[in-house]
Amino acid sequence: MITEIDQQIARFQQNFALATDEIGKRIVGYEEIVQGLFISLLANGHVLLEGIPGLGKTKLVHTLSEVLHLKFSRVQFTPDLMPADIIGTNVMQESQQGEKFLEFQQGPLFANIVLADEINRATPKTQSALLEAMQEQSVSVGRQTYKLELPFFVLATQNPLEMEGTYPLPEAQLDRFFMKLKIVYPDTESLHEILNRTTQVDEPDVERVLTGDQLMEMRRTAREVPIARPIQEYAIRLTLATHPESPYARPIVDRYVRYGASPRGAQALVVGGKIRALLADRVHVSCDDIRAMLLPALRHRVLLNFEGEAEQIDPDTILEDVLANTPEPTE
Amino acid sequence: MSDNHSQTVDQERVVRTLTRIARRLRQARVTRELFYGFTWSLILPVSVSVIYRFVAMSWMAVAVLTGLWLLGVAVYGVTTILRKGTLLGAAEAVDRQADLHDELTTAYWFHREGRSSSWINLQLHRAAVTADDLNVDQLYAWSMPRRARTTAGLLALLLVLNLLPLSWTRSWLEAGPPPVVAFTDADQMLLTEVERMLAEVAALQDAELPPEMREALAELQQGMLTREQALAELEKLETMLDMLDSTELNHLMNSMAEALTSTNAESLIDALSDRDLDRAAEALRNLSTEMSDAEREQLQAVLEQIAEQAENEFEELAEKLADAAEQLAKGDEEQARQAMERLAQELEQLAQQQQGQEIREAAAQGLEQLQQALSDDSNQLQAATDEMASGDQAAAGMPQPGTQDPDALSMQAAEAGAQSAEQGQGDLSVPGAGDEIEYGAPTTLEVELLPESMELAPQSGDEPGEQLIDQPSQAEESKLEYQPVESDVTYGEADLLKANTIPLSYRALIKRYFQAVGPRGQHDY
Repeated sequence: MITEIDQQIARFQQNFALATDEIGKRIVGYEEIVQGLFISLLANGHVLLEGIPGLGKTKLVHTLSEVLHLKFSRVQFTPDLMPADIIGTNVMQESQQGEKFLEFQQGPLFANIVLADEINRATPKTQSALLEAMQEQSVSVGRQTYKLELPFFVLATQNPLEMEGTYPLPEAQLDRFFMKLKIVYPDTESLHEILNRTTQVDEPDVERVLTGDQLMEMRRTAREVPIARPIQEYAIRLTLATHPESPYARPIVDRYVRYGASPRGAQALVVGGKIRALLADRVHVSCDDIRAMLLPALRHRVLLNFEGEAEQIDPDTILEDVLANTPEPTE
Repeated sequence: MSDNHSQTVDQERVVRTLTRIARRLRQARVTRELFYGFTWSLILPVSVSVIYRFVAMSWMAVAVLTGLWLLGVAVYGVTTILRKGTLLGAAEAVDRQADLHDELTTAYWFHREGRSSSWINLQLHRAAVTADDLNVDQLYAWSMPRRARTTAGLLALLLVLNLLPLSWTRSWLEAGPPPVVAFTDADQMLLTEVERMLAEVAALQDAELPPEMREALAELQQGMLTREQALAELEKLETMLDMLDSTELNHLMNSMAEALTSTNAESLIDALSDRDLDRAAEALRNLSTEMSDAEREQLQAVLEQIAEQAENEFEELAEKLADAAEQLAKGDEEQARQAMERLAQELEQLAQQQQGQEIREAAAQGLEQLQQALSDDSNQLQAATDEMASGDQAAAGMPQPGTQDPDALSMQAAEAGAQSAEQGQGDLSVPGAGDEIEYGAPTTLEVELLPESMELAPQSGDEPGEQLIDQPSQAEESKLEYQPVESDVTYGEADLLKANTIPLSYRALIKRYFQAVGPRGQHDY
């Protein structure tokens, strides 16, 4: 007996596969990154992509926007970029009667998918201009607040912080990213494929396969997936384990972590887990889903202390230790 | 309605499967934990068995240890068997075992919490299908715990150590009775003496030895009591001995002497003060013939007073006192003299009882010495056990008590605290050996006289001087070749030999010791 929910799940999986397959026509070797991007998109979250220049971050985001029937804009962050450059500004206009008035000119933020390229090259002031938009999905200019069109999805790329001319993102802004995905250098086989596709006359074309409405329906479907308390308890334990001096904290956390993941981190684990469960054709979240979400959802939320920074501890190392040593709740 | 029914059916399917799984898990857990606990518990009896191989234990210790071990195993077993798992635990276990991604855990949790929605119902339905498809028998097939080999090995070792009569094993079933103490010959003699004295005390009081006392004495003489039992018997005897106490009589004599101070009966007062009742009786007889009327009246009043005092403890004496006072009051000299004579006879009887008091004190001292002897012997029990263990090492070339030379054996026979090493018990008497004195060969000393410097007679013009000459010493200084030999006498016994005063209970020991080492035919000092 096929129920309405079964159909919903089937549509979800079908749309997801359509979109990722379409992206896969152009992007090679980043299947997990693409899946992460879509999970964030479906979870109503934003993604921070980190990787050295030239790995195709921008191309990936550009391809994503092409696959979706959504308004796309791109902002290249530079040190002299001002907040108004991305939000928009009031411009003095003159009517036909000669009256002057201020008219708000929308910035690139007024789109469904915003690519904030090399976000860490802009100053913290400009970076912070994204805060309200990312969390409230609205923009305030003067006394006026403008609602952004849904879905609103910020894809920020950044170069590793140790590179010159970069500004670390403020903690508050980091926390607003649903995931932080690390783009690693592609392997030889993937490089062959990349060269084959990009060094010919025609690049593979991608089609728009998903509309905004379909995305919104997928979002709703994902949120419907139930989660049992023991599984949720596991997500909470993992989150708490990133906090120094918490009952679940590991020695490595006590030693190197200044602040652990916020409740947004736990939310990301659960919502991401739900989407992963649907993708695995399950109508319940499992601990495996939570585990799979741990690194992308919490790595940017674990803030190192001085000792951790000095010893260049990778938050992934801490999280892997947490993952290995936090038992699933049992009765 | 249909949805609800379907949901209930799905929940029942899930619960039914989980119940089966929980039962299987419990069986596996109980088997595993019982093997685990039993294996660890076996370490105790095996260790004790190994220790027992070298150090003997009484059957009581073996019984207590075995009992404690069995009790511990039983408590652990019952606790393990009674502990039950939960269905949620079973769900978690099967999710892990069958890689179900927490499907049954989630379903059971929704069921337990009474959650319901279309999504939850779908989840429950899918979980029910999964549960039905599970092959529980295959998932949780019974298998022998890995620890079973260790358990079997330890169990076999335990059985070999304790049940197989091999040359290198010592069975628990051969464990001896608890260490008993039997009095040495000297103590037995002292005990006999105490019994005689007690009988004498009782006879002086015109009574027989109480049956409880006779019983206690018989048990002590028969021996084979534990040290605690022997001490208890001795304490019982002391308590009963206190009942034969004649302190009241002494108190009465003091009262009588005090009361008579108002009279001129000085010889009677002196006798009573000296607690010499025989002399008091004689003084009373003399007094009855020499009294003036005034003195008779004074004595009559005093006798009445004393009669009242003696009424409770010495009824017969009180009667005689009252009778004498009455006759003195009547003024009939002959009757009064006869009454005084009867009173004197009563005092003479009491004098006999008084003698019993001295014997009682001697008997009490004897009991005390026996208690002391037991306390000292308890320290020797450990030494006895060690010696017994050394007997086991004979195969390893260590000297056995039975192979010692006769001199050493005779010394052992003389020791009150000697024990039978061959029997492996803490018996402080030496059955056989201790009863009969064995004398060693007479000691001879090979004496070699030391070379001696002699002063030579001065010759004319020469200075007098000394010269070493090689001839038998005129001063009879000699050199004795000897080998150091370790003493068999314990520290306690050595202390006793050095003591100025020898406790009564050890007199026989000392006597035997000197008899044993002395020349033949001269051991009757």
